Amino acid sequence: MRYLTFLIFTVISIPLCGRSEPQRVEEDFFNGTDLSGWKGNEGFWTVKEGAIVGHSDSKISKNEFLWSPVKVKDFHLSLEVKLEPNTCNAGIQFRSRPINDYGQARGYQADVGQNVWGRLYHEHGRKKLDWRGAGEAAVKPGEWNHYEILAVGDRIWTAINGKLSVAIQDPKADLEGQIAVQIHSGPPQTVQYRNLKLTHNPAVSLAGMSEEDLNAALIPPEDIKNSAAIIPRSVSPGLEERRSLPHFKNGFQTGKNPVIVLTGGTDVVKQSRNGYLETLLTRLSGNKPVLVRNLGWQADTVYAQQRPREFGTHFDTLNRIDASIVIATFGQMESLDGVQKIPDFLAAYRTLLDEYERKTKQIVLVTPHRFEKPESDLLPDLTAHNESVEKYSEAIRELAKERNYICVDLKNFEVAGQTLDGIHFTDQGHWKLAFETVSQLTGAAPLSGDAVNESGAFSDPQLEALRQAIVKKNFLWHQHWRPTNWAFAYGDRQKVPSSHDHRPGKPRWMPKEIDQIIGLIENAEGDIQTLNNQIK
Amino acid sequence: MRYIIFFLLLLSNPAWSGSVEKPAADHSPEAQLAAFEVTEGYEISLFASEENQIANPIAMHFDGKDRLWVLCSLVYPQLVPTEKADDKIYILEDTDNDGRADKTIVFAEGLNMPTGFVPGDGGVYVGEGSDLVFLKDTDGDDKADSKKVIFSGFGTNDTHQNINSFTWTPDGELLYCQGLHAFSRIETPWGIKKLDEHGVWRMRPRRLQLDPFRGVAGQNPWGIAFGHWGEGFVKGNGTSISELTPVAVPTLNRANELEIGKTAIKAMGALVVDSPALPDDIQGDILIAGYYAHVIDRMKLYPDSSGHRTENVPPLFRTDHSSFRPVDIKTGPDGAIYIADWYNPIIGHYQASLRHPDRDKVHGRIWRVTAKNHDLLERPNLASLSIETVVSKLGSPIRYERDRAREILSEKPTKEVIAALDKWTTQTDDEHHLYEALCVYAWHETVNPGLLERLHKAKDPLARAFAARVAGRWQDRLPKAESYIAASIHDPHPRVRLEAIVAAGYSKSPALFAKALEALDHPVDRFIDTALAQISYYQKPVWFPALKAGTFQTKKPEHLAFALQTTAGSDAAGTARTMLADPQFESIREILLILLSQSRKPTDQVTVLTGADGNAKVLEALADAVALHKLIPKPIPVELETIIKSDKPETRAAAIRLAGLWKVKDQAAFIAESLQSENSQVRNEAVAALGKIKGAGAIETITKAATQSNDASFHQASLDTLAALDTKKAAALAAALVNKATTQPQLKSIVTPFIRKTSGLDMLAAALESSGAELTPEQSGNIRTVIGNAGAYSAKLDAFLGANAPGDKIGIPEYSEGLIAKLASEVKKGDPDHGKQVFQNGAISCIGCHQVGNQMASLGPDLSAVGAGLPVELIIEAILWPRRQVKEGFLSSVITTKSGQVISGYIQKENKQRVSLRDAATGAVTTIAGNDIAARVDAGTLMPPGLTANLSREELIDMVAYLTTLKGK
Repeated sequence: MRYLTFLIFTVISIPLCGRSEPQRVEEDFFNGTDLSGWKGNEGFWTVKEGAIVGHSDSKISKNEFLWSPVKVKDFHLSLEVKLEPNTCNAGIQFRSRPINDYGQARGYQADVGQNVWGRLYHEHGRKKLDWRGAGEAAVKPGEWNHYEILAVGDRIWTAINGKLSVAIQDPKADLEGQIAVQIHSGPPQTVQYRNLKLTHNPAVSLAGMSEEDLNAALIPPEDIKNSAAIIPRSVSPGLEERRSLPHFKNGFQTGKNPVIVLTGGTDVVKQSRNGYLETLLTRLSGNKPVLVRNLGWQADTVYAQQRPREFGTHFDTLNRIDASIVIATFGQMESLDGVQKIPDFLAAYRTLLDEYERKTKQIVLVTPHRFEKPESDLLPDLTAHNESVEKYSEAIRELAKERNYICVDLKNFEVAGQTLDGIHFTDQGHWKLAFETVSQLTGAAPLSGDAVNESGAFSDPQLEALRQAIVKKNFLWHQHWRPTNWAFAYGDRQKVPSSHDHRPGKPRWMPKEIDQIIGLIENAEGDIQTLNNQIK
Repeated sequence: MRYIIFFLLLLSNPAWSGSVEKPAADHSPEAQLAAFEVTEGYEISLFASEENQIANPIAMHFDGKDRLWVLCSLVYPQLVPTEKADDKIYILEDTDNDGRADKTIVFAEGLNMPTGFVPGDGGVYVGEGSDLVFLKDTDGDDKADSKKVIFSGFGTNDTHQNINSFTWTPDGELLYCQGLHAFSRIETPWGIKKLDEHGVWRMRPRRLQLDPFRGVAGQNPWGIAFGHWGEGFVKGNGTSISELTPVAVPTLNRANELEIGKTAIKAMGALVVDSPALPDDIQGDILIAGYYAHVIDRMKLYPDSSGHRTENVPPLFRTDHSSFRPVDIKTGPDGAIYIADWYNPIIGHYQASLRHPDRDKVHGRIWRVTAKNHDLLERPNLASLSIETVVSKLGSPIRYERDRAREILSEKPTKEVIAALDKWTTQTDDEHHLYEALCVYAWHETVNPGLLERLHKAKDPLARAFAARVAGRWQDRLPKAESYIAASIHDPHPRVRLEAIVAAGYSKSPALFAKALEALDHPVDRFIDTALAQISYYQKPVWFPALKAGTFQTKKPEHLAFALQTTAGSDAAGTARTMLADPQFESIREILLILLSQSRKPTDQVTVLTGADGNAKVLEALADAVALHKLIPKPIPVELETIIKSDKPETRAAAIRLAGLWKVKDQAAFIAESLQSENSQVRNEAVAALGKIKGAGAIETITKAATQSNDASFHQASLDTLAALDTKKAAALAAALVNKATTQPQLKSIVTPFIRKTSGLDMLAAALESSGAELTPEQSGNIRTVIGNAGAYSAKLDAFLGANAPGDKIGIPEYSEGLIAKLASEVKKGDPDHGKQVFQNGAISCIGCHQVGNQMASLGPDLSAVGAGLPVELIIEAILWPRRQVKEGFLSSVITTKSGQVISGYIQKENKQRVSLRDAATGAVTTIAGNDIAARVDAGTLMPPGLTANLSREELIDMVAYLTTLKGK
């Protein structure tokens, strides 16, 4: 165990100490006489007296960038910049890329200008990353200012006139890209850049500070400070094109590369552990990968979904995982409140669904099922509430109709012998529920109803292997989406040592490790796809 | 004072505790044994170690075959994503009875960070992250082959607070604890159960009933123990141990914890000693696992009214061995004490990286403590006996045997067990036997009215108390349950009344609740008071609607007053209005008026004022309503004019305060006259009221009065008021007053108003500067102390004061690991005795905030064991740069009120309407209405940087040297 721990440390430390390439100054990064190699829009950029001059005579509507062709990873850039008037805005892009033919940029920008000097912005992306602006105090407005950028792995620093300004450690770091200089949209201005010196694989030292001191100054970027660990969209390439899917125009279809989300209470959580529904959905999708994200949370109701601090909203989650279909199961525990609460129930459900709809309108509502009379007379007999269940179900059916959703109706679902306590399903009950759900969604489930044996396994070993792969993936997903020790990873205890390394500089290992799970999930999903494809 | 803060700092650094120590040089059991310092008359031997596979034991239990079950987690504190969770429950056997385990069975594996377990009901309950699971060996090979999730949804935000300390009550309820960052939501057949933050869960397995209790020891309860008659105690992993029964009511109201004692330093787990193999003088004592300071704490336990109190006595044993981390204590089949030693130099979940390589995942120990000159007991092996024989063992004088007997009976068929019990209970009249039998009936959820009746009539009050508890548990099935409970409410013994109150709390009957309130007619102690409050909250949905419907009757109006007062919000005002018109409630008129004062109807405010008849408490309540709800009657009732001229100073002061809050301009002239009152309360209220009314000339009037006065409290009131109106003028007045002030209390009155004002101290500095004030070193020192104690800091004022301070000071150096290393090397040559003087008496009185040993202070963390193996570097860092790390529970909040006051301190209590915090400036608890809060920042430590700035380097070094000697012995 101890060895494994060491191993992990080693893995984590690679980006920090794995640099072996020699330091190298980029010759002719800017030749001082012309803009050969650089690329920018006509009419904005010239060279005068050894300086790159960006100038606009009139108000411009878009940011202008002048791009260097050089790719940078770990680098130190030193230059002088002069902005007139100081109230305008310019900046230096790094590890960035052009996102369109016009030359607009995505990536880090070391900002220049009044009230933005010495800040770090993420152009066309994550926006403010380090907005403390410590370096602005050192700025001489309207004069030449010495600006330095040091980026090594996920650590980024800047300094102005020798004063440290930006210092972040960025778990979502863009690790490579190009450099560009900017004229910001807005009123006429002149910005000049000179004495540009670019050093690859630099020593880690800046503003007279040692690596140790620089490390001690690191903080997380602003967008990470407040955000939860959610699997990023990169997990499923190509999803960006799928903005608007037809609103179930052709009934429930898994489409191409859909992200199917399950929401609800304890039994939905258990679906991630038994994998039946997901196995069926995977079989349904054939050779097209289907990604299932189980967002069930114990005791979630339409009224309340308890989450740790800084967890983010449901919309955030759906947006980040790029949900395309949501299957929502609510109303079971709510029905215990009695029929008089149905108007409240509907109001709360609508609010929740409105939030889902900000991401997708492809929503499936699953009705509650009947309570079962428990074997033991020491337990309450909840079948007295079955009339209430039916009324709640009716309300849900109406809601689905009104909103043009699909409804999975469990009105006739047989619960006898399928529950542990009158409410929650046994493994067999879960299998039957999954089978019923997929049968209703598609008209016919892709497997037969008796595919699962008494012990809860699929009789077909290939199917069982698929289910086990799904369960394993879901375990990883759970660790990534709602990791244990949340308070230290992303909650109100981020600053205490727990989630930080024990070594000098004390970078945070925990968010990194949680991010590493993404790779493990991708592998697991590759395994699922392979196993699924092997099944005839 | 400054030092106080400083110490806060220290406190604020989690790392110094004994929670992060250096690994031992020698990991052998022999090295550990050699390092134990044992009380005379006892011996320690090794029962098991990593050689028996048990690394990092967390919890242990003996079974009916006298085998020791041990839960170990290597996944803790956080699963490595690339690893498979494979934690285990082991069964250890001592087959040759030589006091040393020689056989290990793996009962369960593949577990994911279990933090608690207990055998029972024919299997093992395990807390596994978010789940409560039941493992069972269905084929008798001692390997779990079935796993069922019973409940799911327990919080895991901070894994050392996951559900833990699984303990059976004698009557078969399963209790377990959760800590501060756990937010749990559980779907049960009885509805969704919620517990936010720390508390104890009670589960009745056969009914799947689950109830959360709030208000037990500390923020991370870990450890539950029972007395001879089932009296429950909960140990927190901090210092406190608390009484369980009064808070065993599942209301959402979080009761103040009922602490009955505390260990010197953080410790967890508890055992009530009851073993014939140990000396008489330890019987009934509580032993506690001192994981933090490497000690087994010991306290005497005494009944105290309806609850208990304790008295600390020297520990059973202790050691300097850095890895000895006792976490669980049990009595063994041989009568010896068994101690699970987690064996780890690092225990801190917060204080060190969860991936710190020094976290030991290899070793683990079970120690066995025996008494010299006492024979060990023969192991009973009750599992081999027939049901009838096991039932008879409920009458054994040995607690171990009774405990195992109940557990064994829990897994036998109910029918056979009950038949045997039926028979046995006809053969005995011993009240404790009947108690034990009742426990087993309850465990099997089998109601036995006859047996309950016998115990209800028992001579021993603790037997009757238990009968009341079980009557509460059975009340949905026991005939006449309410009559038993009602009778016990008037029992002569307070413990019986306490249990009866809690039992009544489970009823849905307003009549029984009313009956419970009759306990108020007997002497009321803090346990009974809390129990009554908790049931008042829990039962409010029952009795309050009944009250409004006119169907809720209490025997005396005072009973109703208790319930109303305890639970009332503004929803009680309407009821109070009706009741005020009813002569039968004349005796509680004051309370009804206070309740009505919270009404939002202006006419009610008039009713209260006119009805107050000069009662200062009622007038205070009206003032409170202004703060909470901004309630100001229109027009202002004319009665105020009469009341404000009352001869009674407290009435007059309250009326003046009200006039100020209501901004009654007509009264300004009269109030200005009251500045000259002989009564200081009247004067102080008058100055505050003038500040609220803001009439013309108020500033001048107040300035003049303050200048003429020699009363420090009046100075403070005047400056507080002026600071809100015009801080500059207030500062000018303060600069003038400073000249006449020399003592610390005098200067505190003058400076405190500026501590509470944004940039106030800077303004004070400017005023002092421009007034040309020349302070004596004594004055400067006192001002520094006042500011330091408040956790405030102003560079400008510091510079002004510093000009008067002589010597070569350490100042606030730039943070550097190099400097820390340098200072640390100097500490070795430091003089701890001198350092102690600096700590206690220096310019910075650290002990104003930090506790060392029995010197009490509450603002900062307890430093009694700060040096227990804590790296000196971390101590230095915490002193010089306190904000770099802040200790749990010492995060302060800064509240800015709408009137511009800034108050910083630790939050004591908060709800939607009010926030109470211990004001660092005054040490007093200040309550602020939610409406009055303009801004709130949950800041870091109260200990500001610069507390030690005035120390010489030598003093600093010596003080650190002193701190490193504090090991909590």
